Amino acid sequence: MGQQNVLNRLFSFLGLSAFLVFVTFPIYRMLVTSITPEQELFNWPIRYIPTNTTLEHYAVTLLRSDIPSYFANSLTVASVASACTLVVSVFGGYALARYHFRGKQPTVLLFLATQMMPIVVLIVPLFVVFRTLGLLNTLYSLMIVYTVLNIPFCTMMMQGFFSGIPAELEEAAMVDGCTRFGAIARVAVPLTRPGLIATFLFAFIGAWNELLFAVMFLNTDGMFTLPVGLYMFISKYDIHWGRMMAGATIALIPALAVFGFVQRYMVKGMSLGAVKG
Amino acid sequence: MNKAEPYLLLSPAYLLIGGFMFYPMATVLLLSFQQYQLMDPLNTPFIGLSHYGAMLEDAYFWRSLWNSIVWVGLSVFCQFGLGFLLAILLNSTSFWGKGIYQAIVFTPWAISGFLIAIMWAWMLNGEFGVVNDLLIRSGLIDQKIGFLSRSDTALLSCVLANIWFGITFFAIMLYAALQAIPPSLYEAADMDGASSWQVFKAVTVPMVKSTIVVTVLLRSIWIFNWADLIWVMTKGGPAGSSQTLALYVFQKAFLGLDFGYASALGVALTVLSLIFTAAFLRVTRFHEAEVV
Amino acid sequence: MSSFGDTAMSRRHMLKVAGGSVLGASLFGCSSTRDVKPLTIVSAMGDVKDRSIARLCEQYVEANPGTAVEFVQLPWDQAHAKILTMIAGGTPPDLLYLTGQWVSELRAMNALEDLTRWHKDWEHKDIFTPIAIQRCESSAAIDGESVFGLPQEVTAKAMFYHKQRLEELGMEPASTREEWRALLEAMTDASRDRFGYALRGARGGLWSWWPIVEEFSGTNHWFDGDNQCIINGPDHVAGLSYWNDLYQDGLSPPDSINWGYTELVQGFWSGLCGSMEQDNEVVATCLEHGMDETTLLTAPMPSGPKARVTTADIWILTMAASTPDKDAAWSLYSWLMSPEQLGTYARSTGTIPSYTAGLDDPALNSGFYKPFADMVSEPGSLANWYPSYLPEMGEFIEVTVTEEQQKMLLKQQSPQETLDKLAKFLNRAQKRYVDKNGPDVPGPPAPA
Repeated sequence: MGQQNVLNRLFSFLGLSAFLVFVTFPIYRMLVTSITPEQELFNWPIRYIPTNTTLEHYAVTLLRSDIPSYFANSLTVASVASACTLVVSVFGGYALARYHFRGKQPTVLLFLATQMMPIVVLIVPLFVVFRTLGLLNTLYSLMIVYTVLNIPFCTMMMQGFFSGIPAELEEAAMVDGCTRFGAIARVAVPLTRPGLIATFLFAFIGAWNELLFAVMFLNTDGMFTLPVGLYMFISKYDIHWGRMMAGATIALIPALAVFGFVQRYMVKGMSLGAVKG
Repeated sequence: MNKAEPYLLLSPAYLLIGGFMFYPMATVLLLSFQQYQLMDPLNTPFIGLSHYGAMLEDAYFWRSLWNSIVWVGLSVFCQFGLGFLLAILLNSTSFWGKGIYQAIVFTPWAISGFLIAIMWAWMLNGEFGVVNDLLIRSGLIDQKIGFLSRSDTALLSCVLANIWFGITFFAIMLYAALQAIPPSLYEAADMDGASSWQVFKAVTVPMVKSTIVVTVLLRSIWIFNWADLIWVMTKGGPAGSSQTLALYVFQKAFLGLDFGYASALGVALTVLSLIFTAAFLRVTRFHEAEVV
Repeated sequence: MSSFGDTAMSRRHMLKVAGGSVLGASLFGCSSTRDVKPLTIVSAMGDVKDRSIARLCEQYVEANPGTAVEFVQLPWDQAHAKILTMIAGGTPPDLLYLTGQWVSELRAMNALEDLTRWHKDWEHKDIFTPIAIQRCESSAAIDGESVFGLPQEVTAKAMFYHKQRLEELGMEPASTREEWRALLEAMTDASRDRFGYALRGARGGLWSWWPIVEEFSGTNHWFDGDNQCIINGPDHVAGLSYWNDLYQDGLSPPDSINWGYTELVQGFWSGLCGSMEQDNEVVATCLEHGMDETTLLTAPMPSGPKARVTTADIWILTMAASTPDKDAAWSLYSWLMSPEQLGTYARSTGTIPSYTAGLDDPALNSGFYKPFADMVSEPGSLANWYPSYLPEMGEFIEVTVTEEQQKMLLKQQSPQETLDKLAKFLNRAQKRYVDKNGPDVPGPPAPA
């Protein structure tokens, strides 16, 4: 048994290390590129530890483009969109998990169908919708699009998480005088916290990184989200590698912060799981 | 239980999706039966199923369909396999610094798709790419390989970038699902003296099955439709060897200016996804997981 | 080149001032806070040029109180798709800077306003150079008596060299294609990551090999008198084979099969490739990446066995047909197109002026820019020409040519087969055009 355990741990260690290397290597290259003087990027063989470093790319990125404003725009859009998505999909997911009703299968099909049509052909009609609403070149258009596009997946995810917890707990709460909504809010939702957080993360990151709609709906620099702002670093004749990687590094910070903050709760979810058994 | 209750709970989702997706999707469907060349905007007669007939004879359609199958199949298979493995490893081990480890391993997901494409294109660059450098240093090759400029490696290079990006997604979702499994189930299995493989098959997989099915299904659909990464890395080249259906739709619409045919391709993509979904749900016996 | 000093101006600053009070005000840009509906203008000509246009718009707003201009910014890679989306979605910008090819696409969509009613009485209507007017005509921006767009600038191609490489080899810029090929061979040393030629194997490859085909065939015609495509004749095939051999013989990096504009220019300034043919606007990019008089040399294009070819293209300012306040839009339009503004623009961007007086400007006719100006005004050379009146040319250049030329570079088909396939595409397109517009099709200009 003890030997088995050691083997298990060794296997886990090797596996986790392999993942770490695979994941971090490109990110490490990104960081190195962001501090390497431009001419040295085209050296061969490659130096893994840069001999000369520069913060010029960061300086240029921060000074020449309006990164703080892109940042604020992205944060606004992603937070609002993911919060809306989460609320809608908690109720929707709960309905799909706990009720047997006629419209269930059509609902799931409808959800899936919205994910199946390529965005490229939807762009022009959606553009018309937002023009009609007068929302072009506003962040509202993106909040709405991201919410709508993330609802199907997030609802189905929440459905899965709700199915995983026994219905008896809510029923008990309702016997104690809770309303249905009260039971959802006080019993079901806290029990699915890890799933809830994973779903929120999904919606947040999706909105944080989306490029195509943002390019099509936003016209002016003051409105741009981070991906659009960074995309502008590819110009007709130039990819500013250093600057773009500097921008990408900056863009990573909030996402990492969210991960770092949120994963604690995902771990805590484990002990909650113990309660309900 | 009140019959209206589920509809009430779902009403925000219905309203948003109906309000914002119905018109665009109906427009695309309608356009797919029309001649609609952007450069001939006043002449848009209904032409029935002509676009669909043309599609059957369109060699580019079939080539990009095949590329799409490779692109989706390989990407999802590896993303899911590796993501599940990572989730299990994370779930079964505890070690000092696990929080930091998780935050780092989950980063790829937090990077915008086109940045991932640019990063990987740069790493796979045939002249200054770090992958070539590593392979040469380790003695695996002695000549640089232009990964993105060969018709046999271009699509696979895009798949590699996609795998790197997508492992995290599966890992997070499955990790969350694994943590929701009550430990009492494992304890019971332990007392019965089950081997770890038996526990995995009898406890773990059934408990996370609905998550697996939903994530694999949606991910497949999503990757099927995702053109950004390939667009930035290879533009579908060389000589169309990495052109997927989604990319073909983009080219027909915005370079060929044929919105009618592009819409028909879009509808075809949707129908193919529906067929795939039906088959997938049947094979995985999804109804037994009580989701549909 | 002090005119490039202002490239350091921050994009944020530029945009804030460009739109005056319009931009950057509230987070959500509520339209209710605007007293005037701004004119919108879009330019995706490249960083330096876009900045110059944005500054001009700012000056216009300052000089005309009560007006507002919103400068629409596009990522280069998606500029075409976004402009099309805006048109198909019903809200194109009021004024658009377009390439010749885009003008013919948009004209076919009926998206451009006929400017004739203002243009016929406009004081500056006769300032433009013959080559600029001729380029406007071949892209249908000027169509008989009707005017749909006027030339902002002319771009021309010349050869770029790494000067020290030439000096190391003791060689001069090539004057014939034969010499050029020898030069490329001398420059190439794959083991040291040095190649001769930055070849454009992907998007827009036609821009790079079509002039060579003209040099080998001695004609800039694409169709004969019966509207049959002639680009797959033996001389044309010889021209394309010459280009194809550069790649097959390793004078260009293997990766160049995937190169478009961006990668090509980067392949040059990074030192990977010793030469490339490019537009005058790329001089600015090279200087920005640290090249200077000691490292960069521009020279006229070498000539081929049958002809010497001049490649000029154009940027055209147009007005959208859907513009609500057309007189206001014309007011900005005509202001931007007056000699003073065109001069400011040309000087700050290093481009070839589209108006006659600008050609005498010494700043635009010396140093790196001299070969470009010389090429445009060189007598007796064959003017490079594309049938840009065909609306399918966009798809042809971006998709069809890219695919077929890559098949050729991958040795999946011969240059002859490649040109046969391209001719087939063009015959179909030409037939569609003739069916719609009659057999009288635009052709290349008669030699000067």
